[in-house]
Amino acid sequence: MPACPASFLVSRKDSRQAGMTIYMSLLITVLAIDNLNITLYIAINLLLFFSWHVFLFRQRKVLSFVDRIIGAFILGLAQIIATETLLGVVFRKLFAAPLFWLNISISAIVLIYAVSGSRNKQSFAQDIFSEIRNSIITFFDTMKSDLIFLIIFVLFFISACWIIFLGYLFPSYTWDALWYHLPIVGYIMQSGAIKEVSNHSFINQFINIFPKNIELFFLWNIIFLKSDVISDLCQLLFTFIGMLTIYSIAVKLKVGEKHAAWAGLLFFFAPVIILQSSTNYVDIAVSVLFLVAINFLLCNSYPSSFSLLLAGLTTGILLGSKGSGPLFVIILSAAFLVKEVITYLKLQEIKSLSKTQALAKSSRLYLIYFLAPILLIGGYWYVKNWILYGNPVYPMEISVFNITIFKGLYKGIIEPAPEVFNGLSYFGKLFYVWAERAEYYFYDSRLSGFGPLWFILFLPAFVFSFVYALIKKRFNFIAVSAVLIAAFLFSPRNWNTRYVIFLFGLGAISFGFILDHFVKREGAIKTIALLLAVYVTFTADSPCVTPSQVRKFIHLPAGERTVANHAPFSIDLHARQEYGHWIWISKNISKGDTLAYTFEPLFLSPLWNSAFSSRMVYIKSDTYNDWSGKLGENNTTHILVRTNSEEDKWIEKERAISSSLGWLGAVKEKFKVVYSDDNYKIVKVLKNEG
Amino acid sequence: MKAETKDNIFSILYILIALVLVVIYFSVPERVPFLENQMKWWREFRE
Repeated sequence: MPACPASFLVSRKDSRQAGMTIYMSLLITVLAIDNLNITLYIAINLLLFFSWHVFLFRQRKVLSFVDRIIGAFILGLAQIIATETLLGVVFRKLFAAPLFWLNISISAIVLIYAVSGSRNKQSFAQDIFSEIRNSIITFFDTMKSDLIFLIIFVLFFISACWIIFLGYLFPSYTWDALWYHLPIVGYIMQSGAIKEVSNHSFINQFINIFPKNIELFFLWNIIFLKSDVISDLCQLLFTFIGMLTIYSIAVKLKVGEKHAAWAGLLFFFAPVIILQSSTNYVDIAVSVLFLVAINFLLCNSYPSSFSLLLAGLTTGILLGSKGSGPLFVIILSAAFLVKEVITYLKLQEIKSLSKTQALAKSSRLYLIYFLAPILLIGGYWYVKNWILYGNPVYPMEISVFNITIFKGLYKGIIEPAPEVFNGLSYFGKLFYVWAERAEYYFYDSRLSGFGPLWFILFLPAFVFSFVYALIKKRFNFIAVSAVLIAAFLFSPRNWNTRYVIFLFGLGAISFGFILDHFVKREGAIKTIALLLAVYVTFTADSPCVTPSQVRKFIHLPAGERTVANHAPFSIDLHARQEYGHWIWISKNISKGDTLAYTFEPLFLSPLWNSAFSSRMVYIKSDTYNDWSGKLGENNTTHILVRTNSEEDKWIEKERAISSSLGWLGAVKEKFKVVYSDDNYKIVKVLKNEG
Repeated sequence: MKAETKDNIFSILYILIALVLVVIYFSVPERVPFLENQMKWWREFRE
């Protein structure tokens, strides 16, 4: 059983800490006896993120405590993505055991290196724990002195607990998660390799070209537990990191710590964030990574190349998270370039040698600490697409001044905009969505999602703060605003709030500014914020998760909490005829079974079992003999066919022959129908064939 | 004008703008069915 990784660091003098460690060890021991998978999962995560936190403790002169928490998360996430990419792309051995031991080894080396650098190991360990304790005490002292903040924090805490409860209780039920986010995980887990899958359908082609960094994080939260039960809570971690990031940016922009905490806390109260925190989407992750990168670039006002390295790593993860990644890289690179040019121009009056040195230094900084980690952590997916499809952002076509640089299939987003937008101007669309002219909130937002805080408090706060910053020449605030507004303006479909969650972050920071400057009226402003936070807390309910479904799922055994039993509003209309065979698969397809399918299904994800330990393969052919041969080659155990399809007729014909000649003993049955409804059949391939 | 007076004026202006936006936000035609949906959810929750 792995020992508690923190135990050897604790000072003997501090009995309370020792007691805590013993308690944690006991807890882990109990879990180890009860469930080895959970133990491994907790142990590897504790060691991985804690080792980076200890490592960053040595950077405490240039990075604040909050920045080191964010930094540990980013370094841990980068380690997860890098090790999975190494095992999946190079060695094609991306399984639980190699992944576990590789990460244990790396984290142990990081921890030993971090501890060995200190002269007095006992005081070093004591400093780490006392810093955490003091930060928590300071935070609670801040809360005690501000009743409204305390009430909003309680609302946040209750909401977060509710999200965790729903994430644990319900399976992943969102459209894109079932369509491609989770199938990406399934394809990787069934082969132990990150490779192209057969390109027979639109969605399989999309799965091939989609950057997969966040899906690798989903995989991390499935592979050790051998279950996808908490994979839909991955984005909640990004939400928490986003709150810390907003706080950190606000502090760097000279907002008082108390009001920066307000900004960070209110970042949570966007309905799109609350609803998407329990889904396998990537929008919160993308926006939060963008904000984190800005935060570490702001750090660079100190003479620290380490914060620039963290900005580079964050941008690398962001680049590999979604097809819009390159847009953020260009904007962040431009921001870095502008900053360096301003620094360079300030050296005009100094001798020319210094100017040359400054130029060389900033180029070196950019290339080594920013661009290199970006390409290492996020570049693989684009290089691979470039080699295989001749276009790094395939299937999008890239043209400049009508000159096609990269050929593709589409020149823009092919999905049509909502009909209510017909005839609306650019600002008309934004007003329509920001005034939330929708009858319910939804995880993919569409016509709402920012909630009343944005429209009523954050939007005017941004206008006031920006004008104030222009008058008072607060260039850092202007720079951060310019970067975020540029990203907003260049984002495709920026009326859709889930694509531009970072804009809500800018509003939260601006609100911190307002609280700092309108001290006399802060009581009234905070009261309005409290009322709106209460409103969001009680209205950000998903129509996909109703109280009756919660009650039903509480009484269901864990194995039956499947998307088919859930029948969520988001997919129900399209998926009703699919539920039967999805339920059969979730109950009967075991580890090592291979399900062959012969048509393009509505969703791929429900065709795996919940541990993604079964295999799934598309097998189609023009002739029965060829098809039958491919079934054998793929060790197929089950076949999913549409009723009355060509394959169904072949199977029926084969069964008719074997039953009519079976009495001779010469022909044994090849197929056995184990599930059948009006639309689908599942056939078991009997092992005694031939 | 004193800085404190300026801040006073701007803070009152900010609150007034916020109150106007509250009225606009809650008077869009979709707000009533939205709140009815939420009431339905909470009635079910109370069960």
